[in-house]
Amino acid sequence: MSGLVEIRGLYKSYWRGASEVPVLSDLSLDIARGEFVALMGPSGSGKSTLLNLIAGLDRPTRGSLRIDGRELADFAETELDRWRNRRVGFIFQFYNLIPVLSALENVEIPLLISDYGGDERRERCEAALRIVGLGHRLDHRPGELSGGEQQRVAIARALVNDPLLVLADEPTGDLDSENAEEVLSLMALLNRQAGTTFVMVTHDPRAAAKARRIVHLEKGRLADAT
Amino acid sequence: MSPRWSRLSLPLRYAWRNAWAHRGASAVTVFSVAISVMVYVVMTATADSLKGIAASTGDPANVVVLSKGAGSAESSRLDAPTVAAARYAPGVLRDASGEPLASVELLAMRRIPIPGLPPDDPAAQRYMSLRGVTPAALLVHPGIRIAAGRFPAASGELLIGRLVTENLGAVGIGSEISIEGKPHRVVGVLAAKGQFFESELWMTLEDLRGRSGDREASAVVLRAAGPRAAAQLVDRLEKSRQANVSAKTETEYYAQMQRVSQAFVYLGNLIGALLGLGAVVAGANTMYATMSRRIREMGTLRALGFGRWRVGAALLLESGLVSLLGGAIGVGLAFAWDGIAFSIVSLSFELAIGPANAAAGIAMALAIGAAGGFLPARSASRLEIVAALRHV
Amino acid sequence: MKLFSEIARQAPLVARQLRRSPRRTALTFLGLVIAFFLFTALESLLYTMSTVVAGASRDALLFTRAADPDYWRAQLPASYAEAIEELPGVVAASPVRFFFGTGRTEGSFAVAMGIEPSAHLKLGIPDGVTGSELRALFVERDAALVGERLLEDNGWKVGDRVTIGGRQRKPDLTFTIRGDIARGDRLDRVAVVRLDYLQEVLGGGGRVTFIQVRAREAGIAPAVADAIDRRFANYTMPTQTVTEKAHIAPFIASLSDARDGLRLVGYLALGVTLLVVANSVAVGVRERTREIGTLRAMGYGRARVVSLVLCEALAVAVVGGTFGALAAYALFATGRVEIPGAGFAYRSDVSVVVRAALLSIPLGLVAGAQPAWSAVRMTISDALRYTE
Repeated sequence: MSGLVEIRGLYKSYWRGASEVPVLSDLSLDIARGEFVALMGPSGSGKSTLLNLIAGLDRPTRGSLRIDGRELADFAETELDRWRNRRVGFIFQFYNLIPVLSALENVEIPLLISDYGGDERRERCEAALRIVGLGHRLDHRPGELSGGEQQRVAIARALVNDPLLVLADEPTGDLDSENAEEVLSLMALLNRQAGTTFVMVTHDPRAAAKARRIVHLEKGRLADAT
Repeated sequence: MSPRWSRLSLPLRYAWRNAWAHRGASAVTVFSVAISVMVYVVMTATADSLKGIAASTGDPANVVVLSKGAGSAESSRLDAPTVAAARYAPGVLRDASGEPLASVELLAMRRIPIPGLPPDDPAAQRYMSLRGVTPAALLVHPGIRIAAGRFPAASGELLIGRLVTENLGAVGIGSEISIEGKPHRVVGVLAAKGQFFESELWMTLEDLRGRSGDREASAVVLRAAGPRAAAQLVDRLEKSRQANVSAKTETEYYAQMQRVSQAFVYLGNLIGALLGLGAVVAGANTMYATMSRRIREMGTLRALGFGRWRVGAALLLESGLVSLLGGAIGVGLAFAWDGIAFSIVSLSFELAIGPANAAAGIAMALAIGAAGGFLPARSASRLEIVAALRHV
Repeated sequence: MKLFSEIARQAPLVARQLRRSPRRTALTFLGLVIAFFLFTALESLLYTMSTVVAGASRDALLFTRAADPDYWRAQLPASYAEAIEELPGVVAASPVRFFFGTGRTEGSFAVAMGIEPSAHLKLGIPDGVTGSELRALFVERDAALVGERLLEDNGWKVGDRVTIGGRQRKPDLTFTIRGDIARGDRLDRVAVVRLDYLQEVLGGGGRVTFIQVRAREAGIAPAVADAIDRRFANYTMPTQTVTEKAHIAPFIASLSDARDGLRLVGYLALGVTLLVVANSVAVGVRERTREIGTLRAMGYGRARVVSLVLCEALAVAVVGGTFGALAAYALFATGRVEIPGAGFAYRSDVSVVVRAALLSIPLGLVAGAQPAWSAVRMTISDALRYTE
C-alpha cells in the first residue's frame, strides 16, 4: 500500500473582512492507496475544508499537499480541473445530480471532457450503473428516483472515470437508515473488491464504523489517529 | 457510433432541457426575439425591395436626356428644338424605316381620386406618376410588355402599370380613372417586372400635354447600340453646346432614386436595434434567473472538472439556442409578408424577402442570444467552487 | 384617502422586494424604458404625420393657383391678389413666387420665396424672426430671411451675401441674409426675399406661382375658395383654390400602410414588455413563496398579498414607462429628428407622452395579475413547505 495522499504542515484560513479566521492549523496526514478513511469531528473542526483541499477544490494557505506524488499547489487552475476530472470522484450529501438529465446522462458527465470515444463512454456508463445496481433505471431522471437511488447514481458517476480516490462529503446525511446502510455497504464493497480509495467526511458514527480508519479533527488539528 | 453519443449531443440536450424546464421565461425570450427579428427582416427587405426597383429599372443601353441642371424628369423641360437635336444625335439607333429609336416622354405627378370613392375627399386621393408617351416607348424600354389589352391610341385612354391597383384599388381594363377632372378609360395593363413603370399611369403624349398645346417634353430616352455606345452618347450630349442638356444612362438615372429606400434602412436599423435591445434584456433576465437557480449544479460541474469557461459556455449555449428558435420563428413570420404589395406615396412594390434578409435575421437572433447570455455566463464562470457547492 | 395610506404602507415592502434582486429589477426597468421609448417615438412620428394634415390654423389658409395641372410653371398674374382681397371673408391675399435653384453644392436644392412684405405679414410672421430682421426686408431690396435648415444645409450665416444658382437657363439669385427663420416653422427650408426683387431678377411679367389667402376662419374657407375661383372663372388664366390640408392629405393617406406598420410595431414592443415584466414579477414571487406564506400565516389576507404584488409590478412599470416616454419626448423636442429622405422634422406633443406613460398603468396591472394570482393560489401550509 503506497502513499497516495501526503499532507505536511497544512494551514488554511479564510478572511472575514480584515481578520483572518484559521480553519486548519499545522495538519499532517498520510492516506495510503486502498484505504477507506472517515474524517470525523464537531462542526467547525475543518473536516469539510480538509476534504475540499484534498479534492483540489480549494488551495491551502500554507503547507504541502501531495497526491500521488504531485504537489497540488503547483497545478494551475486548468490543470487542477483536468486532474479532478480524471483522478477524483465526488459524492455529495445532496447527491448534486443534474435534474434535467437522466441517470445515464448524469453518469456520462465527467466523461464528456475526457478522451474517451463515444462507444467507450457508453460502455463505461452502463457498467458503472450496473455496479451500483441501477442498470434497469438508466433513463430515469433524478426526480423519479428515491434518495438512495440518487446517491447510487452519484456513486456511479464518481466511479465512471476510474478515479484514484473517491471523496464523499456526508454521503448519508440526507438518507434514511435503510438507504444509508445500502450506500455505505456499496462503498465498503467497492473499497474491498476494487481497491478504490475512499475518504469520507461524516458526523454519523455508524457511517464511520463502515470505514477502516477514523481520523478525528478538532479545531483544525488532528485529535488522534486510530 | 450513434449521434446520441457524439460529444455535442449532451451539451445540446442539457441546454434544451434547461430551457424547457423554465419554459415560461424561455417563451418570453423566444417571443421577444421573434418580434424583433420579424420587424427587422420586413423593414430591411422593404428597403432592399425599393433599392431593387431602382436598380432594376432602366436599361444600360438607354440614355435619358433631361434639361441642364434638372435633377429628375419631373422638374425637367425640353423645348421642341432640343428634343429634335437629341433624337437625331449621332449614336442613336435607328429602326427599320430609319427613324431614331427615341422615346419622347412627359412626366407629371398628379392627385388621382380613387375610383369608386367620393372625388372631393382629399384622403381618397393618391399622388400617382403619369407618363405621356408615344408608341416608341415600347421600342426603347425593352423590359416592358403589354400584359393585357393594348397601348393607348387616343386621348382619354390609359395604360396602367400592374401594381397601380395597390394605390387605386381594383382597377382593370374598362375602369374609369379621373385625371384632373377628365375621365380616362383603362385600355391596357403594363408589366415590367420589378421596375418603377409598374406604378405608373401611361397615356398619349398629347393627352398629358393637354391644354397648353406646347411641344415641350420632360425627357427623351434614346436607345444606343449597347452600354458602351450609351456611355459615348452621354459624353457627346453632355459636351454639346447646341443642345443644352444633361444626359445619363437610364440605369444611372434610376439609381439615384434609391434615396427612398434610405429612410427604410435607417428606420429598420433603428427600430430593429431598439427591439433587439429589448429582447437582449428579456434574455438576460431569463438567463440570470436560471443561473441563480443552478449555482450548486454549476459548482458540481466545476468539481467534476469542467473549466470555468465551459460552465459559462453552457449558459451561452442555452441563450443562443433559445434566441435561435426565436429567430427562426421571426424569419418564418416575416415570410408571411413575402410577395405582398405595398405602396409608398406613388411607388408600389412587391415585398421580396430574400435569403440574405433571412440570414441577417438569424444573425441578429444569434447576436441577441450572445448579448443576453454574456453577462450571466460571465457570472457563472466566476463562481467560486466551494461557495457554490454550499449554495442552498 | 384609504387608498393612499394603503399604498404608503405597502411602499416599503415593495421597495424592499425590488431591491432584493437589483439586477433583475434593473434589467426589467431597462426593458420598460426601451419599449416605452420606442412606442412613444413611433407614436410621435404618427402624431407629426397627422397634425401636418389636420393643422387647424391651416384650414383657414388657402392657396390660389392657376387651374392648370402644371401650375408651378404656368403663373398667375400678381394683380389677382387685389381683387381677391376685396372678396368677403378674405382677411389678406399675398402673391408668392417660388424660385427653385441649386445651393452651394452640386445637386443640392435651394428654394427662394418672393413675397410682398406688407401683404404677407398679414398672413402671419415666421417663427424666430425679430422686428429688426423683418424691417430689413422692408428696407433693403435684396435682403432675405432664410430658414435655419437651409442655412445649415448650405453653411450660410446671417450677414452672408449668397447666391442661389439658376437652373434650366434661369439666372442666379443673389441676396444678403438678414435674419433666420426658426427650425420648426413651415418656412424653415426657404429663403424669403422681396417679390419685386425676385421679379426683377427673373423677369416674367408680374406673374407669381400662387396667391396665399387667409380666410377669416376655417369654417368659411371652402366657401371663400369657391368664391375666388368663380371670380376668375372666365379669365384667360382661371384659378383653382385649395386648402393646404387638401394639398397634403393624399400624400399622408398614401403612407397609411407605413403608418399602420409603425403603430403595430409600437404595440408589439409594449406587448412583449408586458410579458417580460410579468415574468420578472413571477420569478420574484416564486422566490419568496415561503415568505408570502409566512405573511399570510401572520394574517395578511389574500387581497393584501395581491395588492402587494400588483404594487410591485406597477412601480416598475410606471417608473420605467414614464422614463422611456419622457426620454423619447426629450429627443423629439430638440426638433432635430428627421428621417433622411423624408424631408421634414418630427415633433412630439405632451398629449402623446402622457398617453404613452399612462399606458404603463394597465401594463403593470396586467403583468402583475398572473403572478399575484399564483401568490395566493397555494394553501398557506404548502407555501410554508415550498422548496424549489
